[in-house]
Amino acid sequence: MNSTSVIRLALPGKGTLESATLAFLAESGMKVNRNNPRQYLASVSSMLDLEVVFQRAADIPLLVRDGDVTFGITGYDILAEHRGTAEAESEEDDYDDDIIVLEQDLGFGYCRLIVAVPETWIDVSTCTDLWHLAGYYSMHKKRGLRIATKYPALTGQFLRQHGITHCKIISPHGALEAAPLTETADLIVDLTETGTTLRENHLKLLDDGVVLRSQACLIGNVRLLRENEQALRLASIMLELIEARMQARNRSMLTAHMQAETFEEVQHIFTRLNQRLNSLVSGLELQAAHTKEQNSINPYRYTISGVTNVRGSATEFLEIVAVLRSAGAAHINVTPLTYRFAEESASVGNLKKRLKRKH
Amino acid sequence: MKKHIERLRGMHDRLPETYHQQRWVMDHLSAFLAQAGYAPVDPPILERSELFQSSFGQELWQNLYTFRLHHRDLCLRPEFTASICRLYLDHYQQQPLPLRFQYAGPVFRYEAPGRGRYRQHTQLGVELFGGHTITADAEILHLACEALSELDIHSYRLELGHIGVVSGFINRLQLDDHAARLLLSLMEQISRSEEGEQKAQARLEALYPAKRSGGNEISSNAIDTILGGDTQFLASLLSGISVTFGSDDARHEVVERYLWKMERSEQRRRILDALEFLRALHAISGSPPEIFEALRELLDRYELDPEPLTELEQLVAVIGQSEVTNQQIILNLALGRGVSYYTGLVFEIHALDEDGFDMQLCGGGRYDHLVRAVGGTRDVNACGFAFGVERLLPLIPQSYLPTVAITQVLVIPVSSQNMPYALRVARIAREAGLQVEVDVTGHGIGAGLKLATKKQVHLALIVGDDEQQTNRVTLHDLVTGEELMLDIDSLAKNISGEELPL
Repeated sequence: MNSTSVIRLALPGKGTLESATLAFLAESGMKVNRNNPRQYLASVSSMLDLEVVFQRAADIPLLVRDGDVTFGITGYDILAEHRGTAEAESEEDDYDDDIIVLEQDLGFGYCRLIVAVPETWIDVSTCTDLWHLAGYYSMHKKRGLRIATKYPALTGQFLRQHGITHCKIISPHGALEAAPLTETADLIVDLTETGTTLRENHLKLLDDGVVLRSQACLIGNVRLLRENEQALRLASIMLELIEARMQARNRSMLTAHMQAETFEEVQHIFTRLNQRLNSLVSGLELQAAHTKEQNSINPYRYTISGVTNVRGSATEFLEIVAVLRSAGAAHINVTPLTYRFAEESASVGNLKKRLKRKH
Repeated sequence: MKKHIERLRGMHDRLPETYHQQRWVMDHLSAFLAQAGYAPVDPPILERSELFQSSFGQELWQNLYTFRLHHRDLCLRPEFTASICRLYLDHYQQQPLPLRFQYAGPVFRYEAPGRGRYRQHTQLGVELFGGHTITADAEILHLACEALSELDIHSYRLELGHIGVVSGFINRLQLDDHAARLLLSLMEQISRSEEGEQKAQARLEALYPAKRSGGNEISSNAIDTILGGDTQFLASLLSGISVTFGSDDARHEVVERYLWKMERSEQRRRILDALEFLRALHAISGSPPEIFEALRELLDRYELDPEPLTELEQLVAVIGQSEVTNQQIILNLALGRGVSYYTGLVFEIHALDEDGFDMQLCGGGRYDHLVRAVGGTRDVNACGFAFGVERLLPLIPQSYLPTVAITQVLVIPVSSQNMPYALRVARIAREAGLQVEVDVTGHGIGAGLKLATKKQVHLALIVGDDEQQTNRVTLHDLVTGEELMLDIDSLAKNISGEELPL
């Protein structure tokens, strides 16, 4: 492979994950240009050597594993099922696989894989109850529980962890919620965001029945990352942007101007200001600097600034503004933060370390 | 760029030296077992997943290499016993018992690889169908020890147990099957380590929690009412809840199940009693004959049938006939094996590897219900054991093991025209019982002789046009440097008489 070849990023090409992924990339500075939504290829204007391919989310782990694409964004649930385990990173070195998780939590595409049983099962509310029920089934019905799921590997692992080994996992192609109603299965293991669909189909969640919590994740092919410097460079750029964007999320930049006669007065105002603000919001640390006017420093005007994690709530901002005003501040600006870069990117450093180790 | 295709984790390539040694061990043991009347059989490596699932009594077995082909669930065998039972049902059901079988071959388990633990390893073992319990048990136990002796392996530990003690206790507690199976499966964990014991306890506590007092739990009075068989009460309670049941049957089932759930707290005490008993059993493990006294006392205290103990005592006496000393034997009635099909005697043989780590060499026992579990119409008494062949190898004295046979003769054709004649010469030399290679490099005599020296070959047979026309060969002794012309007819006589290093 030569270093000028195109590097591919696979994105989910269908459903809610598609729009969420595109929105996420756009706000992270990697807007995907696609001429029309039926096209399978696209590009990112800020990264010319990256080619975007749209694929079904379920196929993306395989494409990354085989090196058909270098990067992919997909649901963590899909990756976990592909690996056959819900265990996270720490055991990653154990997989006979070329997939490395670059960022596990991209902050969108949230869902849970859960165990749901018919709501008429008043005797079952925990996995322990399910274990006992498996015993009841084998004694009275001479068969194991039947569980319908599209995640047979994760389901099998979860059930084994709870000692439920006398059961049968089936994977129908159609809607799972119908399986208990039509008596093709006794219970289901399925994805849910809010649980509404489950309730509408007379199913209920078990209290401790969460098999996996998932969100979208960024994965890459270890071998390609190790062999191809350009791929590693692109990975670093993506991780850096994603990290900076995720750090900036829900944060705002606050600036204001203030007048004072002496330096002592500034210090005094400032100490009181920080104290009062800290009682309102945590983590807001203001800094002051002399304001420059036409290349010369005005000794009596100061600019104060700071980053706050107030989640864009207008009333909370008004409280902060009131405090600032009472201290004599003017020109108070609040802007949402786009990126926030640390001294160095933790995820890039981490990736390099893991690539070395993973061989 | 082409990707290097790596060997799978936990799988190993067997190279000539190990191959020869392992082959030798297997041939040797197989001949030994055949002398004891065990007929070799070889079931397929691939079976239906059902076979192992039903023999293990569960449908989810995490270490199986299972896959689906044309909508059929298939599985690489994780062990032989279930396959041999199936083989028995397929071919031998009508034959009089006892029947003896031996087998050897690869088994597959998808476990985390580690010291002496491979995902593919070789098992060699026997199954004995029929016969009287004690005599059959005695035969296989004796056979397992004698087999090790055949390989000059003498320093090992023999752990003996008997499922009958624990299952007798569990039967008396009148626990349901589900709970009984759980306890039996926890036995192994309990006897392995203190941590395992604590985990087992935590597991039981979670599955059979203590009754919570107060809160919004149903009062014990109500439970009594329900447990008193007043299903009407519960049924009417249910009809008050805004849940729609599909049918009266469904409602009835839920009521029944709810009652079943209520009984759990009743079972809790018995489950914890059983755990206590397993602990007590585990605490009393040690060597005969002293340990029998302590065990008998324990069984007495719990008023359990001492029959299994009597059997074990007889077995210990039998092993005494072979060279196993009492110090090598550990009686551990809490010994549970990984699989759930054992019904009576269970045993394991352990040894320390070169770095002092404990390794299990052999495992076996009695499984009287397995034939029925895999589809037989009746129970057939059966017992057996299996060795892990790879683990035996490092324990066998090097002097016992064969080395890789080296080539003794190299036939060197002078040019490619002489190749047909060279092959003829090679065949004659091989018929004389020697290991013969033909030089196929095509570089002529000089290079051929160099190659022969490098490979430490004793004799070179040079064949050129002259030799070919006169039906002769030039014999070159690489040790002495002597060279002589031989008639091809007298070749065999000449070289087979040589004192060739093997």
